[in-house]
Amino acid sequence: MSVIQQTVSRILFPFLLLYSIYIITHGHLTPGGGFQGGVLLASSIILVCVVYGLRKAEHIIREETSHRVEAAAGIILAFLVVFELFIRKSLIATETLFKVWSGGEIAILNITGGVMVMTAFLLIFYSMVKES
Amino acid sequence: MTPVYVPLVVLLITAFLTPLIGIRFKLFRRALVVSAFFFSFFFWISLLPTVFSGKILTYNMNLWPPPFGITLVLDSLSLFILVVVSGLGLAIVSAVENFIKERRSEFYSLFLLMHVGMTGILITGDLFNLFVFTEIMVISSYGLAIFERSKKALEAGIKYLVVGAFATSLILLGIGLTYGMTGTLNMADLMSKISLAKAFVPLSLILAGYLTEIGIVPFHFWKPDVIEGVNLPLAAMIASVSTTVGCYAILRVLFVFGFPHAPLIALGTISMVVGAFMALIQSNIKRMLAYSSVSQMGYILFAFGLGSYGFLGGIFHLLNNALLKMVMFLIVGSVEEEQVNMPVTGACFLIASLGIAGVPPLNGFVSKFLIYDAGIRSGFLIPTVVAIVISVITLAYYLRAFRRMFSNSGRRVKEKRDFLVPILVLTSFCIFLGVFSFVAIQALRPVVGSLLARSAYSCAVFGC
Amino acid sequence: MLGYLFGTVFVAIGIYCLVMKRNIIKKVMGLGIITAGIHLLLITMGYREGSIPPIVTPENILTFSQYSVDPLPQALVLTSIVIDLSITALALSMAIVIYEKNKTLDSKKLKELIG
Repeated sequence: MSVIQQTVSRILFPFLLLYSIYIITHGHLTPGGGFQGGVLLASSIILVCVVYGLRKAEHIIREETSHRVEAAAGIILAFLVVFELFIRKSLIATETLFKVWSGGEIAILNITGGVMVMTAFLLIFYSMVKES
Repeated sequence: MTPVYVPLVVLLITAFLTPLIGIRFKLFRRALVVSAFFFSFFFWISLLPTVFSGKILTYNMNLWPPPFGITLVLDSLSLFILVVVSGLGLAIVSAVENFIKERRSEFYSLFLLMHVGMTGILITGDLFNLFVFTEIMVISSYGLAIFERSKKALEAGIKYLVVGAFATSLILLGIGLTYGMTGTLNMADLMSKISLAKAFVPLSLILAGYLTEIGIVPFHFWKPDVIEGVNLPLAAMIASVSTTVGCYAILRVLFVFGFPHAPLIALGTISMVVGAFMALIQSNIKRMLAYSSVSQMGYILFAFGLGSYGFLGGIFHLLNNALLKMVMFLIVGSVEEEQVNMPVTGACFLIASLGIAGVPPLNGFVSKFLIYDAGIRSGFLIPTVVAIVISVITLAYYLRAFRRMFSNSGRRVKEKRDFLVPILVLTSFCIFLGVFSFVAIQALRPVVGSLLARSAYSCAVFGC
Repeated sequence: MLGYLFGTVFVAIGIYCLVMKRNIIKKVMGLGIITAGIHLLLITMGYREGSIPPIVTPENILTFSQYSVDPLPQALVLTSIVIDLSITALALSMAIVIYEKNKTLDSKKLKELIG
């Protein structure tokens, strides 16, 4: 990949990370949420992989690590949903409005969902690239 | 406020639990899947007396009132097709073990997800929720289509994916235009705000998408290739169960918008003719079954286009087509070469062929007779005559297939017990439906009644 | 008005790509363009003249429903982006396996199922 692409993606990468974390954590206030932020996180790492090669992307997140993170996030998410639906019987936060901390359980669901989606799409991309 | 979503949640949890259990306890995996299907089957059967006596069950998701929230509505039509779908799912699960030799956990997982999508389509009362569950069902079947990585399966899978994705994006466009016209997506709310004359363009877009899913001419071109190419359990699911659920989606959309007569009758008649004539010249049994499915769906669409006379015949033929096609596909799966001598399987194939063609005293005769009667009563004489002629051609190509597949002097093959049990159960159920057809018609009258009772639907959702 | 026009143009370009190009990956790109056009159409339907994005802040809670754009099509489009992403991922995986088996990505060379 040429110098222009490497320079631009090196500048863009932290902004992509920050923007996707913003979308995940403000999921209860603005459009977005867990899934959309997770996809954007995954696409930032895929950008690094496309421009710099597979080894640089593996420096950031390895495939075995993302397998384990995905499984852990999946178990936590399932446990949280069961906990909410059957023990607390509601999924809506009734705290103060308009503040980031007022998400309640939706914020935790967003963050866990975002992590799980990121690792899932990263695994899809790694399996396409690695030819195993 | 009955919790209608319980089988949906159970199937979803089982879909993700099956690979986990399949790592260690391979014997429990099949028992787990079968018990999940049994649970949903008996759950829907236990709701039958309540719903068939006229009561419509609703559940507001997360207790948001309609039209702001998503409502789950269960009326007689939904419950009837739910019972059929979960019963047929049980019939296929027994046959899966013979066809899928490796990575069975993923197959069961995707299969259960496909059922989650179907159950969601059948219980939802909101138009966008219908779209989302349609996508779940269809994407799971794309995943199942390429399960075995052979050249045929890959080609069938990519064709199915491209056509299906385009069709569902048309459905999304139609739903978006409907929202732009009325401002609401709840089905009960839409009934009072929209009419057929105003909403012609969105309705034709949504219908184009779902008719592609069913396989009506001119949207049928993917069906023979896909049913020939994919593995047999998925082919049976596509030909008998997905078409039933797609027909339900069409019925629900037309229930909300209003039934147009001319397009359904025209497309139905053309599908009948094209399906039958293309099936006559096929040399591959799976392609012949695919074209036969196109033809039978033409009958069903023709029946629904006739107005309130044809609903009973259409619904009965929907049930018969699902049962008989499942029997056909299970028989085709158990027979592996030409000219075999398997007496029980051959007899069941003959009975099923006579059933699809409409020979008394089987169930196909009763439903087709109801369709002809409705056609004459509504005044559409020429399509009815065409339908009768196509019945004869149906018998012709099925008997030709029977001659080629079974013969008394061929090789004697031991019949597989895994296939025999569902084949015999379904065939005897078809004979029962045919001989005691008055029982079936009495049982189906609430279903037809729920298709005509639009005010009862919106009353049940909004609480009037 | 411009949003409707460009949405329709995108859908038309996407249909052209889907039908006329022979490479499978270009067909998948055509599918993506069709869904992009449909999303543009949906979002433009919710637009109101001179209004604010659908984010509720403490200043505008009282006049929110008069001034904001319609948030419901945005929720529909977010769901549809998710669905389109998984279809694209599945289609590209299929294209990779087709390339491994047939050594070509030409759709005219896939001739196993004919009849």
